[in-house]
Amino acid sequence: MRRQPRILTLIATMATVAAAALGTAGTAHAGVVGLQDDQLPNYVGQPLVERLDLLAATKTRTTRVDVLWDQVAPTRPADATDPADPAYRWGRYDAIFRGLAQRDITPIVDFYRTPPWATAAGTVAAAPPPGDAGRFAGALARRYSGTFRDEAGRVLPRVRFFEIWNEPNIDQFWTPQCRKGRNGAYVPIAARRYALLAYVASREIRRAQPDAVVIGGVAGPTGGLDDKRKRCVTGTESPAASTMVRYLRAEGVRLDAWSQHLYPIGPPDRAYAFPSWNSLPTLFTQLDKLRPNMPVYVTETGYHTSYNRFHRYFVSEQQQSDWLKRTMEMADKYPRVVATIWFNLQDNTGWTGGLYHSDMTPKPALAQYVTLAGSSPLLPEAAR
Amino acid sequence: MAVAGLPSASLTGWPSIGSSVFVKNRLVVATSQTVRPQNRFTFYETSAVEVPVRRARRPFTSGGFSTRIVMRSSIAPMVGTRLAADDAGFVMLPGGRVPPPVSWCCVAGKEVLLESDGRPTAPTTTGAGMDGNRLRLLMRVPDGDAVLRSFSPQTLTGPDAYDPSASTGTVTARPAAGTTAVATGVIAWVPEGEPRTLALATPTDAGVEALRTVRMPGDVVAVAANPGLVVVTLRTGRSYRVLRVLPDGRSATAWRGAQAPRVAVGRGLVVVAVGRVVLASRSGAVKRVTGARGPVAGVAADGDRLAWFERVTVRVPTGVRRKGKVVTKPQRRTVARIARVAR
Repeated sequence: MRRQPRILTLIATMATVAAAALGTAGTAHAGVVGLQDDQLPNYVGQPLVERLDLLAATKTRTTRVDVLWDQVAPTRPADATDPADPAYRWGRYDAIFRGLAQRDITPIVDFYRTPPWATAAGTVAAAPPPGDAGRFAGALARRYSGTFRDEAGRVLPRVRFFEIWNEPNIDQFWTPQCRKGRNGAYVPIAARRYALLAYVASREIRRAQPDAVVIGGVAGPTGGLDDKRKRCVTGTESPAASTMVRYLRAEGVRLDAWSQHLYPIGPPDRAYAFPSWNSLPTLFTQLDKLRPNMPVYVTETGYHTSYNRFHRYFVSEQQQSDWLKRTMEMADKYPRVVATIWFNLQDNTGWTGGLYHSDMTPKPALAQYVTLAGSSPLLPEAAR
Repeated sequence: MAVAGLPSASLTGWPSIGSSVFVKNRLVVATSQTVRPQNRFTFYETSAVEVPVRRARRPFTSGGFSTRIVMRSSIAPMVGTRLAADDAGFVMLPGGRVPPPVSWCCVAGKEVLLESDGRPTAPTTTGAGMDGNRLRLLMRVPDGDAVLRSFSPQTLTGPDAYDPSASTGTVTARPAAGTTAVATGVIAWVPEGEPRTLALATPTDAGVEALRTVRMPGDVVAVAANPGLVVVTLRTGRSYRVLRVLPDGRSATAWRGAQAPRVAVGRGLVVVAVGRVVLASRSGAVKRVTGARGPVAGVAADGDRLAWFERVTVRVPTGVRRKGKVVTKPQRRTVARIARVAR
């Protein structure tokens, strides 16, 4: 939903004042603190500028941007690896990445939502053909390599951090998770197919940017750690992290880092069920099989302040604020956790974990975030 | 060939039972519990669980309940969750100090979230129910008049579809928390700070009409409604009373006793459970229908049938044999049973 620019300007000013009041009192954090605004791709022109100002007013220096493949490529490109292919519509992302660069905010970019032309199912959650999606990842990395010029001849900014898909272990973003076998029983297939995508995408991204940071997994907060099951029961079960790692290893996928999303039920330092902050060491053990000491990016975490159908667990606004701080303290306990991204800037009807309500009034967690972001380091590669 | 049914269905443990309703051929019950995973922290859960039922001597076709809606929070316990139903579905309203989200179950198998606002200053829903084909929510607004919101969730094409029929009306009242009931042609609530007053009105999309108040002979602790009938549970000193109140304000005692009763009303049938005794009637004082095998934790009513939930402890095998005998251990269960009453 579009907001009135004047309201955005006013709130951006309020957030800046809050930042000035609280930012200096922050303690230094070892890990990077970031914030995603999932509404960025919905704005253009002056409203986008104001939305970016609002994000910058939170003192955030690291963010995450969803590149919606179906919107960039509404029709099949003739050469999918060529970002200048006339089928591509990069306009809004050019504006977003330019705006972020102007505000010294480093983006971690993920891409998902399969275009209708890419699959027989024609739905955005349909598991993408690895070749098509991988080549799109290559075009994305090439366009934002720091040397590519747009149609007007202006150099586009660089994006260095790429996540391969979003939550491929959840039916909502990758379907089917399981396929019906000959005997009628469901067999898990998502992890294997994701490994194929990760192989092609990481190869194409490195062709475009040899020193890009390629982040795999991007695992949603479900699925368990270890699972020896060979069957699905309902057809929508998520694969365990160990299963994803096993297939990625079998395909020889080269990843620089793993991304895990964490939405624990309970306080961040008390919850222990996988995946949670306390269960990260068990995930590290699995990831060591892919690459010893593989860094981990927690590119989504948060707590909801009212009930919604997608996350049935909610806390009070004061708890959200307190637990945001405790979340970042937990992240600091693990040197392997490079960055922690709070999701989201603003509530919407399906997601109530924002720092702002949907009517743009701030929650107590906003001031807490501003304090933490003010003392956050930059992403290591971004600081180079 | 007829499928052999079961005489009862069970819930594991003794969760707090809120209200229970029949939704066509299903029995739905709201449960609440405090969860302490390995004693590390506490969170609170409330669920709407259901079991299919049929009109037969052995009414249950499944021995266990399946979950339709589950809400979890670390804010406060959500005991006393209320349900209201018609044949198309049911509305769920958690109890406790949590600003209650209100959900309708279900459209295309998914719940429709009608209200969810976690702000400390958010309007609080005091009650919800079906008025014909309109679902109505009475909401208390801080420092202002109440509002009556109306929906038709059963007509939606999907759980996130826009409801063009949604409307909001103002009601000049301040209803107390948890004391509102809605049914076809009637809405009843207890005004805040006036526990011996029952407000009755006719709900409309624009608010309420024909608002009048009825003096009650005790403090109102619970209100339930049916078309043309409001059932009120009162506390007078150390005793309790259940009154049938007609829309014109006339009332008659259905039950009185020393213990807090469990009360339900559905299609004109009033069910009261006290201790292990279940009583019911369609008019006048309720009469004993059956005795339960354990304390009754909840009841449901639907015209000529009623359900009750009894707390029992059974011994279940552990899988260990000792001296040739199977070792058993006690297990708490909440058992649902159904009985028929003459019309």
